Amino acid sequence: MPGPAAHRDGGMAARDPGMSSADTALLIDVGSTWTKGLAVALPEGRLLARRQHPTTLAGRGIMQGVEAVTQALAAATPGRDIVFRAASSSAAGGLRVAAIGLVPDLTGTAARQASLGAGARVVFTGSFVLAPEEIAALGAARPDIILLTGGTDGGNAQVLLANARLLAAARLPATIVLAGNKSARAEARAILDAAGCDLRLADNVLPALEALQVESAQAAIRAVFLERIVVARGIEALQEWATAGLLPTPRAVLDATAFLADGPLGLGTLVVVDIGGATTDVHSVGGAEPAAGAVLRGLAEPRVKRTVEGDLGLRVSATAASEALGAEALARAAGTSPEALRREAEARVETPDLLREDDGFDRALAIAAVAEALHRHAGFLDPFPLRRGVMIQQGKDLRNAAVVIASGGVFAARADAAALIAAALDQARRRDHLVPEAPRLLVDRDYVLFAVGLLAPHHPEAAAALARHSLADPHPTTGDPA
Amino acid sequence: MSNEETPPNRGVVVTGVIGDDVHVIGIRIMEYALRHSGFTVHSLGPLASPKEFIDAAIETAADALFVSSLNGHAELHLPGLRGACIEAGIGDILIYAGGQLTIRQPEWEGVQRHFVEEIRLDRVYPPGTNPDVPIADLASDIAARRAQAAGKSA
Repeated sequence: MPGPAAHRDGGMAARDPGMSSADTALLIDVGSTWTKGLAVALPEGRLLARRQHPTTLAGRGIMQGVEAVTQALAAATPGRDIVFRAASSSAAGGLRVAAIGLVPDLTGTAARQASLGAGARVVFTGSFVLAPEEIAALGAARPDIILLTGGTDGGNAQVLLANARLLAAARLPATIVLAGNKSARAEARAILDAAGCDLRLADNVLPALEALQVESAQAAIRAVFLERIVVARGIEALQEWATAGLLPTPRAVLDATAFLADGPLGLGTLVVVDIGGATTDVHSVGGAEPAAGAVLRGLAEPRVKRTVEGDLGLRVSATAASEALGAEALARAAGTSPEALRREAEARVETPDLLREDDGFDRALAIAAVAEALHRHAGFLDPFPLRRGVMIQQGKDLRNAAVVIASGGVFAARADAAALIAAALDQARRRDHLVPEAPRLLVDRDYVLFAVGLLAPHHPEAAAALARHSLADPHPTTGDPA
Repeated sequence: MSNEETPPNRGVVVTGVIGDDVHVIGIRIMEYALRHSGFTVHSLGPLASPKEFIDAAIETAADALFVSSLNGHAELHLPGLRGACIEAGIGDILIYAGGQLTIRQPEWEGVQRHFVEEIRLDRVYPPGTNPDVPIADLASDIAARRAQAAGKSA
């Protein structure tokens, strides 16, 4: 396992004389605060350099930061040919989707899951026939896309049509992706077309109760993202720059998670936890089958699943997170008083780029937030009343996950990242959900996951090598992560 | 986009074994017979809660719920189901139950009266019923409903 610190400063610029090729991939992620870029050697997937620049929104927009990073990477890798450029973006508010279904636990959940898996921020969730105040709230949530679902194929049509009429009347400036009951599709389409709505059609997200099918809706969301939202956000130039592809950042990370589980590295059941300033994302692959002796209830889980906790973050969500996690317990863990904790949280909300040496509050908050996010992502077993020995399982069983990868600035920046994720897992395990029990812990120290997701479809071997060498194993005795 | 023709549909049925019961063989036979007779079946399997029956019925616009129980706990789980359906806006749905519905084994007529008149199910069947019987009943109940609805809208 080569020490990731060796190339973290981008010091590996020199050409390797043994290499026959100087082909290079540039991979850039435009985040809300930082624009981060990697230069990766092709085809071998060696990380050559890593550079970042504050994300620029004013003036010439995000391309100023992208160009600065591109130039810095080019300067750090002289004499190499850039043959591949891909990007992910969560700048300018990310991809905002409203998820509408019929029954909350059925198409409501299916629509939400489809949106999250597409890399969206779910800014509104609705079910049944929407009330006037819900239509108002939907407008106020400013979605880019409204994912309109409802009814299994041949099932309830009435609610989908009623909501289509309400959306037609509301005339919101959002693209509607219609992915409900196919038997009501033509009529719903006619209603929305007549109102001049920008409309895309997709397959039903829940054609039958046991068949969650999110791919078609996700493809439609992705097409809208590339054709329309990129323009509305003023990031067409980024699309032009990224000749090999542009994705919403969470989707790139989800793609990386699926690739690490199923691709050449074959890591198996896998969990990625990604904590940022505003949210904590958890991505998992596998664990959708029932545990031994358990009966699975509820909507089928997608094998590749993403959840987002909007109240768990280290900066703009620090106050919300302190409340969600319990200020007293958090203060105890941080070795401070609840009052001091509140001040610390407020300081972070006001100054998102605040950084402190040896930050006990960050540490306590990150541990508790990651534990809580894992707890919410994982399923649970419930003993059935009146019937000994029978267990009901809702959600995913991730106890046998082989690997947990920790990503996000707090893990990249801290020397004690390994201890931090281990403590979070310990805390999550003390509760009753089906969280990983004895996984190998890896840390995304070089922030490569997005790049792995961008590279994977085009250069799988390079993506695998990049992951293998960059994901740091905090327990080197267990060997190489691959 | 899937655009295959919907096959001629005699009705949509949500099936399941209610409550703390894992005996699925009876309902599996029933589901097989229903599908074979041209009904669309959405199966909840064992350990299904009343809420799951109702959620599924709304989403699939089901004509009927087929509730199975062998351990006698139907007596515990079925009262309130009709009320919950009314509350959820599907009060008119057909509800059939079959199996060993009570723990004690009183004479069948009394059981039937209790489940139909007091618990307000449409039909109940004792163990050993030939699946053709509820299927014929379902076909005529659905036909009557559809004729009634057509009369109303005409």
